[in-house]
Amino acid sequence: MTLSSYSDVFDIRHDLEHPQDIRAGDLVRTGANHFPHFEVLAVHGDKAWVRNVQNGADSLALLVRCRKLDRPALMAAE
Amino acid sequence: MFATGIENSIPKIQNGRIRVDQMESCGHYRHWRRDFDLVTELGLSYLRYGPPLHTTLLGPDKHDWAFADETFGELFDRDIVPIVDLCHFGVPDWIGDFQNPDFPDLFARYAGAFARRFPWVQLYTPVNEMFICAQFSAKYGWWNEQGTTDRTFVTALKHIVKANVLAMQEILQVRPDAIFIQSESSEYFHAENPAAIKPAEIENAKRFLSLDLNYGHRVDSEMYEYLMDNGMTPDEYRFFLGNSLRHHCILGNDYYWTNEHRVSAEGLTRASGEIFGYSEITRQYYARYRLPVMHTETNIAEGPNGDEAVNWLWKEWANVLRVRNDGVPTVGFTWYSLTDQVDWDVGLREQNNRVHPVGLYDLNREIRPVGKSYRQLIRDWGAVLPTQSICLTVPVVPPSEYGERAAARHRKDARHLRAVEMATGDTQQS
Repeated sequence: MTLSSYSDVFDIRHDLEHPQDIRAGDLVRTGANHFPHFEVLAVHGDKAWVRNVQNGADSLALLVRCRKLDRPALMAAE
Repeated sequence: MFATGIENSIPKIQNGRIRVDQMESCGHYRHWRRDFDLVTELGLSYLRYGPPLHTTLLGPDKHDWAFADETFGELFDRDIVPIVDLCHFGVPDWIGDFQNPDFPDLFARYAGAFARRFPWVQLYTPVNEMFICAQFSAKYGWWNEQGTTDRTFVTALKHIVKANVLAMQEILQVRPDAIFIQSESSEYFHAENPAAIKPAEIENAKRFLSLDLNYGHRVDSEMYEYLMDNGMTPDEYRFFLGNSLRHHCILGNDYYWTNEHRVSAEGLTRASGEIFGYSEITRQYYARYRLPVMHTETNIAEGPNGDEAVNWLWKEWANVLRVRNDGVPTVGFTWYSLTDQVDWDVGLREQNNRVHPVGLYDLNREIRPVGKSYRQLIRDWGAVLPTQSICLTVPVVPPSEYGERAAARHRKDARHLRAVEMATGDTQQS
């Protein structure tokens, strides 16, 4: 049994309509907003092992929510 | 009252070398008009907001009101009700830090000057999170004076709370119907084992100190000894008992994931995560002070699942409803802050320029899932809190109604009541 999300109460969809091809080494965000950003460490099934690039915390993310970031553009912006 | 706030923390860190300015870091100085647009887009009428103290109060009774004039003028035109946060974790360079015994008087005069300049402002949080301000500045060694002893903590605490009380008195001279909404951290300390029960009890008594002093609530004997042993005098303590303005106050309380602690037998504390939650802890604070309550700060970072903050919002709202349905007069809720913050993941102790994704909007002013959720929650529940009792509503006068006859009559009545308070001697300064 998994905990439900209250996103459905507020009619919020997190998943991409057209999932991207995500691979280890990609820099991603898991929502439409600026930050948090994650580095993809590994991919398996429908999940990605991701590491928060700001605080180093590891977690699992749904691949269908991952959006690739343009690493060179990000580095240039920093 | 549904609200949000503009994060305006200004502590000094790293032995006074760096001034943190969250309004700068979060882009508010550049985007303040857009930020006010976002407040309206969310359907909010209340905004926790204040001018930057360190650039507004330039010297004793010397002010630069330029930014405040622009922004508060705009709030007035938009009929957004500010809950004015005058001091958020820092003081101007020339005051030094919270060990300065002149701080209370200097700050009170500033509060009076602000109230005279913006007489249409009714709601105030003179000093934000007094307990946290004293603890982080003068016990944990993180900010400002970076003190680490009980003596520096008690010194900061008595100065901060006295500043708050004197500021309330000055504001009431201008706006006798002013309402003060404290925004104080609501905490709990859990004993790890039976040997930790006594140290946890002491911490659970200390968590009330700022509000005890502010509301003139007698402290217990152990806390009285603690205060006297660490530099407070009996006369200083009696000042607080004799100057209570609790009947002008709403108990605003804040709850974050880090508000509950575990305590070891040696008295060391660590974050425990959420064990009791907002509703249980608020009942404890309400039982002590018996004041109307408003949830004045909460947030959590958006994470890899994208819905962490959405779920936290729902859970906090459920807690507020529970407290309300248990009979605690509950008047408002606040998600803090409007935009993401910077470096709060390390308690502002370092300047890493790390975005802390806790806002209703990100720093590009794009709405987050929690912002969409809050907007919907306000639409769905906006009418619920006020109807708990038609007879008991917060008498807020919106900016647009400040000049109206009914509002002027209300202020005249409040002035008369204030004169009676003063005449009975309850609030005479010692």
